[in-house]
Amino acid sequence: MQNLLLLLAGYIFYAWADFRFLSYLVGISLLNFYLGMYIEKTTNATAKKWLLYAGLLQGIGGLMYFKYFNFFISSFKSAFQSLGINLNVHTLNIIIPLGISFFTFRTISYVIEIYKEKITASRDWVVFFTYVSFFPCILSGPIDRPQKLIPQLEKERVFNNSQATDGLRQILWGLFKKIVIADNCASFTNNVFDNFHTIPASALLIGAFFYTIQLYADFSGYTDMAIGIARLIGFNITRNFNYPFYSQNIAEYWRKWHMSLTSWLTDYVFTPLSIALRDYGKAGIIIAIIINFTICGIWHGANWTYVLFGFLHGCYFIPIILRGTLNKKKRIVKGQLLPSPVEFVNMVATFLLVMFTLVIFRSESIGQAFQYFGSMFSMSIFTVPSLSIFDIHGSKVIIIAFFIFLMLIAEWLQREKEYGLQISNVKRSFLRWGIYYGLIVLILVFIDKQETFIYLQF
Amino acid sequence: MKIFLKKLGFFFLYPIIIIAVFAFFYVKNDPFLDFKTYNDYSWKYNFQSLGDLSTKKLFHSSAKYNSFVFGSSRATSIYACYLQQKIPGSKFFHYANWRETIGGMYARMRMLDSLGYPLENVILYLDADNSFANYGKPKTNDHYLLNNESKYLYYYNHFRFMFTDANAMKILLGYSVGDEPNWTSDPVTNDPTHICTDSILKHYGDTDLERKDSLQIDSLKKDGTLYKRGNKQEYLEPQIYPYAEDILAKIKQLFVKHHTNYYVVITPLYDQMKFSPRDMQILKKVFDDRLYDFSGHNAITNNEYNYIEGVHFWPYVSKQIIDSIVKPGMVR
Repeated sequence: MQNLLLLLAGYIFYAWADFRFLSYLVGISLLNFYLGMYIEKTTNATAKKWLLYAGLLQGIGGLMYFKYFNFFISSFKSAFQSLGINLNVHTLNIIIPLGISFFTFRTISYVIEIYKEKITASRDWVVFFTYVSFFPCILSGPIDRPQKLIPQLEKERVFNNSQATDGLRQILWGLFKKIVIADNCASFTNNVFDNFHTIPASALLIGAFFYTIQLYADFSGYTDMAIGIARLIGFNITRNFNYPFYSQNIAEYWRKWHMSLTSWLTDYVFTPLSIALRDYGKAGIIIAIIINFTICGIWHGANWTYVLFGFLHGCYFIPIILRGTLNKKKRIVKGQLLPSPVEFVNMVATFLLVMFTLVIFRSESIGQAFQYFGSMFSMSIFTVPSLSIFDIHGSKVIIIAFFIFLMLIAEWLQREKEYGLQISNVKRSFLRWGIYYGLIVLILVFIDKQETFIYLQF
Repeated sequence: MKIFLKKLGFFFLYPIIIIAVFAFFYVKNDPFLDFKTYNDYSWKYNFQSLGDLSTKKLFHSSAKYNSFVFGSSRATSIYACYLQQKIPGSKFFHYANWRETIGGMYARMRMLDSLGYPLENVILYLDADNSFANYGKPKTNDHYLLNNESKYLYYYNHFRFMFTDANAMKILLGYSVGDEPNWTSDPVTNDPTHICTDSILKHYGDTDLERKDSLQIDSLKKDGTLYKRGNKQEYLEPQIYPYAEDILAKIKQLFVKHHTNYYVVITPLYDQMKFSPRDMQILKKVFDDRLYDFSGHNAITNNEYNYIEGVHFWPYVSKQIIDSIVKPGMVR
């Protein structure tokens, strides 16, 4: 009964966002449910492999068709055009199902894990269908693995007071990040990116900073809400962020940013590739990681900007691989109030590396991204920009910058905990409640034009 | 679960009671005229948006308007009833808004177009210091149908505002506040500052009646309101960015669609700054011979008696502008 309600909630939630592809969601759930059972049942290795291929074909094929078909067509067309050949092919009018990248990766990992005999196929269709359409995560993740979520779905959930309270706290923190930080930063970055031709370089640099913060606050805010809602109804789902801006190199950053996607790609793309290329030593690892991150880039959408974004992140790994420190985890000492100067410089450097690639990520085309960089690296970088470039009320920029600072400080101090507002250890309830009320007031005061979650489009 | 729900209820109890009390007074006093239909949508309180009130008035009006005035507070010096005399067959609605941007003007025109209003005659006041501020984007405190925002967020923003201003809070609780504008607008033309009468029309343009005397001007000079201006013509930095350029093109499209008899006026501001030559070129390209530039050093701006303070000029200046641009032969 609990699962049936969850399934219904998932479908209503999905249909609410976009009802047109509910049948697709049901269809792929049904297909993968039976594929899982047949893969498990089949003793013939070849047949098992073909069933796995069928699952992969459905998942990757669906993604290719809905997300990338037009991209490939137009890319081929322009490639041939540059050779002087005009191809008479047209793009299709395709609408992308919401959350397709997320639920497809969930079904792919399900069939692979059954094939690898790491899990058993679900016999309860309600459980499996709920796993695919689990409503807190269906639109923007985290991408839960079947071994984590399905066992929880198979058990009856009992209400847990402290878990539910914790869930509410995490939802509140997510709302603060989304509404106060991300949505307000969005209005600043839209002004900068829409008019980057005409504003000084210093403003472009600040615009890139705001976008980096916006993306983090938007996506991690959504994730906090999703995890919080899941906690409220008795689930522990995969953590997606672990304070990535305090990373000291790019490898650590990716272990902490969109963790469920990174670990998915590590397991199903990077590891098999690095095994296949193991004879080539460090060169093999570099090739594997560049392919892995290029796929990571293109997972975000059908645009060359995402391909370049992923490729550059892959390239960022080269010095780490050459130094042989890929798996060396740098950890800031537990309980340390401030980072050491070296740690601080590393954190800032990693942040800047990420920030520059996010200019490409945010741009509509690679050409536009390079124009942005061209304008950003000019002499006007040494000017003090007018605050009205970001917002007509310049004071708002200062206020939001202060809240960004507050969020970064709170998350730094809470970095050993799962999220920034995990303050159950604060004994005085009036202090705890004061913080909650304070955040609610900030949300109510700073609620602005609602921006769609950035990762909804992926 | 019971303990959890009890605790949650207790947590929200006090804030809900406080908000409910304020919400009761808010709906009762309705300072933004959101909840009921009124006969009078005049600008009474500083925190009200003139454009928002005018939009509500337009929706409740049965008049068949075919002509409109757009612009900022500077445009309130235009008397729509006078324009009706000048342009035969015109039925004007004064649709100015505080610190109006080009995006705001376009949002109004687009809405009027979608509602089926003919845009036969349009007077558009552009301010060099304001029309393209914030990239020319529409004001966020305008009516929700104009800035495509959520209706609920619009109501919420009005309610939220009451807590950010002392006077607003007094008004929310039903107290009268002395230093609020309390204007009276014309029930038909929506001229913001007066009701159109023969006497008003007769005196429109009467310089002696309106402008300050030399003692008052000296006082304004002394306190820096009317500051000293340079002799050299100065230009603003380029401010018409791609977004605003696109808006200008869309405005032109609407004018073409409606065969509009339009007049685009660059207002004579006290600071005597002109649009940058680049921006001027853009404006000329779009509006061609219907662009009238009264900015910079000229007979109007050189005369400090033409100004109420350093920001606004007297209504008679607008009459002079109208008389100089609206000529019988030009009406399309």
